[in-house]
Amino acid sequence: MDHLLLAITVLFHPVDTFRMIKRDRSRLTILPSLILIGLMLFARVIYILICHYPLSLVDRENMVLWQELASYLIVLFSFVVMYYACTSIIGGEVYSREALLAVSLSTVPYTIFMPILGAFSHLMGKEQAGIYYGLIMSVWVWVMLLVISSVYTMNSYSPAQTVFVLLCTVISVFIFWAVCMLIYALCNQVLGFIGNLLQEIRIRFSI
Amino acid sequence: MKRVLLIACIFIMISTFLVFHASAFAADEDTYDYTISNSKRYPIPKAYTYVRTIELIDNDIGSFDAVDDLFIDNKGRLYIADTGNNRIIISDLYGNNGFVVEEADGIPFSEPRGIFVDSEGAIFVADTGNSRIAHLNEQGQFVESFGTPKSELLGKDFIYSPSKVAVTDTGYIYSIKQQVLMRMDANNEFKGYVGSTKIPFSLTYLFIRLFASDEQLNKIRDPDPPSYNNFVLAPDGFIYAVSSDRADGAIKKLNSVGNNIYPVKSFGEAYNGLPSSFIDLTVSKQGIITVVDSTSGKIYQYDQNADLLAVFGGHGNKNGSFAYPKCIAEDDDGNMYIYDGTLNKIQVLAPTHFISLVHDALHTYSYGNYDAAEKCWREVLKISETYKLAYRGLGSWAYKMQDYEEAMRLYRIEDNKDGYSKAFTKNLYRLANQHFLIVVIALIAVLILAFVSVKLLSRLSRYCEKVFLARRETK
Repeated sequence: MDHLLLAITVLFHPVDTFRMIKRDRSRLTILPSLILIGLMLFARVIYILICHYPLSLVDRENMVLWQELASYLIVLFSFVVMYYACTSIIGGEVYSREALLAVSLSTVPYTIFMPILGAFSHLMGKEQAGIYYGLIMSVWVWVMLLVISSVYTMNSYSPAQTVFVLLCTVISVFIFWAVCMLIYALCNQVLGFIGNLLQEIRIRFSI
Repeated sequence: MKRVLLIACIFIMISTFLVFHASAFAADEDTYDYTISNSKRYPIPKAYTYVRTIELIDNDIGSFDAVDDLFIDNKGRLYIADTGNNRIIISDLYGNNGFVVEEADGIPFSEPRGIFVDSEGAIFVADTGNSRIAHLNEQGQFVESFGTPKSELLGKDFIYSPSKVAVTDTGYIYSIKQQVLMRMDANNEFKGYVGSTKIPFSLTYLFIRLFASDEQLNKIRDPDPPSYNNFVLAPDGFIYAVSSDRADGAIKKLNSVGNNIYPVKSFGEAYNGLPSSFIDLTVSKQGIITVVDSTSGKIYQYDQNADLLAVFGGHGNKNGSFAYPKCIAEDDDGNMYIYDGTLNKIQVLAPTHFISLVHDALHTYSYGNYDAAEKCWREVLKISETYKLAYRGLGSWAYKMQDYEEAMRLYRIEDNKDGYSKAFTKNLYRLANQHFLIVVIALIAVLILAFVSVKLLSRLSRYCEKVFLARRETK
């Protein structure tokens, strides 16, 4: 649970934080990562609920909360899996738990600042949307910089290698989901075919 | 006896259930039209009700065939371009006291596809088959004709086939020339094209252009811009036209130089996977635009801001439904005359109290009579509390009255982020003006708090790092 302390450290000393994780890899558990991800989802819910109406991109009345949260989880976990897979192939040094903790620590700026921005949005209308979305974008940039920093530090990569691995990770996430959708479509077709076949047999036998 | 009574009771119960069930369904279908807001349909009370059908013009004139245009003049006379019978029928609004015009200048009409009557009663017929526009007087007697316009710009191969016609007070004659409107003056001289439609972007075509060989490209025909289907000269002096132009709006309001000043958006709805196809329109004195969608058989009504007021009609065989609505005209009382191309009859639909209130509200608001508009909108909400446009109207009224909080509330109900935001900003400025000192103090406090928070977080960050390292060492 000491690793939760790193959630504060990572904001201003990301390189040191990721080095500490690497150094302390023998004691690493999955729980701090799950807590951090849970906090991020909680921050997302708070943000959706308190964001000012004209600036909210989510239709609060018609949204399905679990779908909103699931989309975040799916992106996050598929990124972690692909990141681990890519670094395993391209001379990386991280283990899966470290990768998960590094990525979940990178979401800390989002967890802290999104509810604050949600509250801040009540001082703005659509005319100030540029400033507001600029602030949100800066939070995401911060998150991305932390991810880049974690890849760079924890795998002892050169800057060029870091960019290459991240690019590979992003592409492989897309390929992974394309394959998943393809499998889903194929399974759907096969199940539909089996269903129709059974129906046909049932009709034939009933006659 | 008991058995007979029992059977009778059961029969009555079943028949009562069936009658109530059927009438409930019929009432549901017959009582509601709908409107669309943020891509969702909202039921509204009936906008128009069926009044009568015009199938025969007197007994001696008979029925019409393949009508291509309808027109109602300011004296309450109905003009029918009876294209299939190569004639123009003029009658009263009940299809009585009619007479027929079959020729102009001794030449019989050939496929007359458009008709226009100016405020003086002069009749202009787009005599498509004879490549001319015939000018007749009020009694249908020939005055003059306008043939192929004179101009070197048109070239020798130019084919003139006017399908629709309108004449402005300044004497310009407009007719449709596929994707543009052609303008000529009273001397039959070509005065240019206006309102050209645009070729919509097509990704498929872009890829073909990128990857096809020169030989293949030579065989591919370049896409044509969408053609105009119809146009009218509205009482406000603007030309309103409908086309299948989805890139630049299927409904256009053209100013004197031919620029579209109507909001560009997606009009109509897809029907069985097919896009809507507007083939005729009419514009009321209040500026209400009513268009006919041949794909769905529905009639869409818009205001001057391109907001959808109501959708009515649709395919069906009941009164007020259509097989293939083709032409539309509107009289001074707001009654709609809609010609059904398949059933070959004109149905007359009268506006209900509900839609009349909506029209009045829009009209009075546009003339700056905000209080009258507010009353109309409140009446509308009493009839249909889900009518989103009423909330917008009331929101705009509250905004004009500088009741910004009420405007925000109403815009919120309508789900209008732009309106809400506008009212919110005004309200915020007003609050800032009223409590200027508090706002300044609060701003300074927030800045200090932000600065202190960053400092604290930075120190906390370093402290956490030390604690973490210390704990590791002790373990």
